[in-house]
Amino acid sequence: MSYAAYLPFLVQIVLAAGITGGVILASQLLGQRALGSKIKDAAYECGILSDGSTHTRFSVKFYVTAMLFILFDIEVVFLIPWTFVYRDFLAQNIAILSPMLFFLFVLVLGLFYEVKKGALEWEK
Amino acid sequence: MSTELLKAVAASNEWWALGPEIILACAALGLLVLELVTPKAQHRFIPHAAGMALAVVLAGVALNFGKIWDGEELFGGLIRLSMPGQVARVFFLLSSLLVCFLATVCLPRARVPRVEFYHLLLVVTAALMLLAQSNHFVMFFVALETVTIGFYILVSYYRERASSLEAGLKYLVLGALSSAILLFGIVLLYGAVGRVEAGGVVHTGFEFGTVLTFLRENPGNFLATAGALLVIGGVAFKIGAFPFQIWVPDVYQGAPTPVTAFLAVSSKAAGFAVLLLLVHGAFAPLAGVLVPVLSLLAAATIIFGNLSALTQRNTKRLMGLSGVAHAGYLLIGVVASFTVPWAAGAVWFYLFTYLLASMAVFGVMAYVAGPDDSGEELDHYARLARERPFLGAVLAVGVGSLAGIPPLAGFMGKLLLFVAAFHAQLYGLLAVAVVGVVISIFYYFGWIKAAWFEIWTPPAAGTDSPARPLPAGPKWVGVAALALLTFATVLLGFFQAPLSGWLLPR
Amino acid sequence: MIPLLAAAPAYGLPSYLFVSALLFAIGFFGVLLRKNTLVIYMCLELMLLASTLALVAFSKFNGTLDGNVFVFFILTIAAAEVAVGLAIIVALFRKRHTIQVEELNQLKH
Repeated sequence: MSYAAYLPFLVQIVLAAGITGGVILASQLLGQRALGSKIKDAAYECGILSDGSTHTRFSVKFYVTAMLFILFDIEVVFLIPWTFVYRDFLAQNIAILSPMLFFLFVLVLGLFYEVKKGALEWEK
Repeated sequence: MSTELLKAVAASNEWWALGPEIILACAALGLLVLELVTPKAQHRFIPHAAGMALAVVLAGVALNFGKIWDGEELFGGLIRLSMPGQVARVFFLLSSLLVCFLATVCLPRARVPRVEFYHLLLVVTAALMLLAQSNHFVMFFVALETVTIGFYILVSYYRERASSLEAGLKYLVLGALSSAILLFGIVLLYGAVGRVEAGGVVHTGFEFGTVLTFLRENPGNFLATAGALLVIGGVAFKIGAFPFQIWVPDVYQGAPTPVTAFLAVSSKAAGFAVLLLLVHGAFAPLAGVLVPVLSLLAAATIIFGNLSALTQRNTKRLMGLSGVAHAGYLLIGVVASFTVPWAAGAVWFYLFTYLLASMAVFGVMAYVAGPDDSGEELDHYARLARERPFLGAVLAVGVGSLAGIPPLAGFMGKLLLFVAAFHAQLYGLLAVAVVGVVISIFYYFGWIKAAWFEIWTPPAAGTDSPARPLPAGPKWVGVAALALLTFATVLLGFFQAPLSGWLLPR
Repeated sequence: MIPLLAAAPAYGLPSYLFVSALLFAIGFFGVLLRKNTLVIYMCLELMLLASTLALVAFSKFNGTLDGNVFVFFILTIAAAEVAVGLAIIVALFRKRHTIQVEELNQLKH
């Protein structure tokens, strides 16, 4: 087995480790240092003490949008093979346009339905 | 693949042969459009529109029933039209029509959107019909998953109730597990069969016919046998056979009543339609392996279903677990159909009697449950016969038919199955089934007793809560539907010719 | 870079099937043993993807394209399953404030 095949991966790992390590090292060497004050070490917010948990909750609307994205995203997978065979099929007189138009019509109808139901409204 | 071949495939696209499924899918989309364009006050007619669509398609299929294309493969081998496929279409349409009726009774009680329910009902019905006619594993898997994913949503449809959501989650996890197992089986079959060239056309292990020839020519191929068993395991989940039945009681209890009825009747029938399709089609050469496996499953399913139903007080769980036992009797029919060809017709006959009786019982359950859907225990059926004699009579006929009491349809269904098993010389299974039927009479009669015979219970000291008032009786549509179901159940007990002459080939 | 990648060692069908079976087993036992609903969910997806890997490997070594086409359908189905499943989990979490399976025991006789 030839290990040379894995060379690109090795190069990538070395580059990734080198760049991140270099940046962290540079900030340690060159950056300014607070004088051990807990408040001053904290991430800067707006001059007053930070309050509450770092892990704020996402709005559930975010999940709805993400889920809808997954559904519509995956449909494109059927469009790509379709474009490849489109000309061949047309030359052979095989109906190819109308089924895909119907497929897209169903998708668009779903989109309209979502908009009408308010699934895409973020602030509500 | 050459374009000439593609042209030949395209020429086999007979869209009108799939008319019923296409009309149902379009009607489902039409419901959504109707909801978008009409004002909210007029949404009451949408259930009627869904029912109309189902009834029209049912009439269309029934009128064109004789016009079958026996064994003709369409869409490049994806679909195979056949007599059992036509029977399945009628069955699923009839069942969905009754579920539609149950939904108009139950859904107004819960604060949920209504239109989506009927939309999903139509989509799932179309997918069920496609599933029963599939001839290709891709078609099979996609149709099956459309059904299953539709059911995930339907089971958790009462999203205001934690119990419905919990049932949905349990169905989802176990359903997805079984789908993954089934998919792995399909992949193994595809890998085992490999590339088969016949007459310049490349075939793969996705086609039922190619799998059949492969299994016939290579008996004892380990990969293919394992794949077939995994596929059968995935189907066994659908019908709730023994090792895969753990989801049944919880999901039946948590789901809305119309969905429970849909699961009990259509989902189970779909499992058996597919099982018959596979064991007589693609997996026929594996009879040596499948007969013992299915026999074991049948015996274990009957014993487990009946014993666990004995202790239930909740009617939905009772229907679920007794449904497991019914799946066991039907599995005996499937085993018998390896040697007795007409046993497949007997399985369908049993499914039709089960449809009539179950829908009648679920109809009564929908009314007894009351305005908040809480009356699901056997105790809630006390005084039912005295105050609502009509509901009590329907319940008695329905439950009696499920138990297999002689003059009713359920008895004839069981008799046909057992005669088939006798002809196939399955004496051991027959003995198990008879013991199962005897056990089932206990719990079915407990239900009838709760509704018909007064049980004097000493009033508990201190808690003299007023007796729960019985809910209002059904309106005329409900009376007509329940009376029809009851009438058909009684009639089929005396005259089987209309149904059996149609299902059992001579 | 391209010549380097082209020289990648050619693995046989058994290697792919072994990885696929391993992934499937991890997913299967994860569904049975884990307690967090979301982790169970990931395990379910892992099982579907294990099948997909085997499918692509078979497709390549059998020389038929049908398997690759089926992968598209499996991906679509998996996406639909994820959307429905996550919706149910989010709705259940809002009701019960837990996604641990042992605390989801309301349905008992």
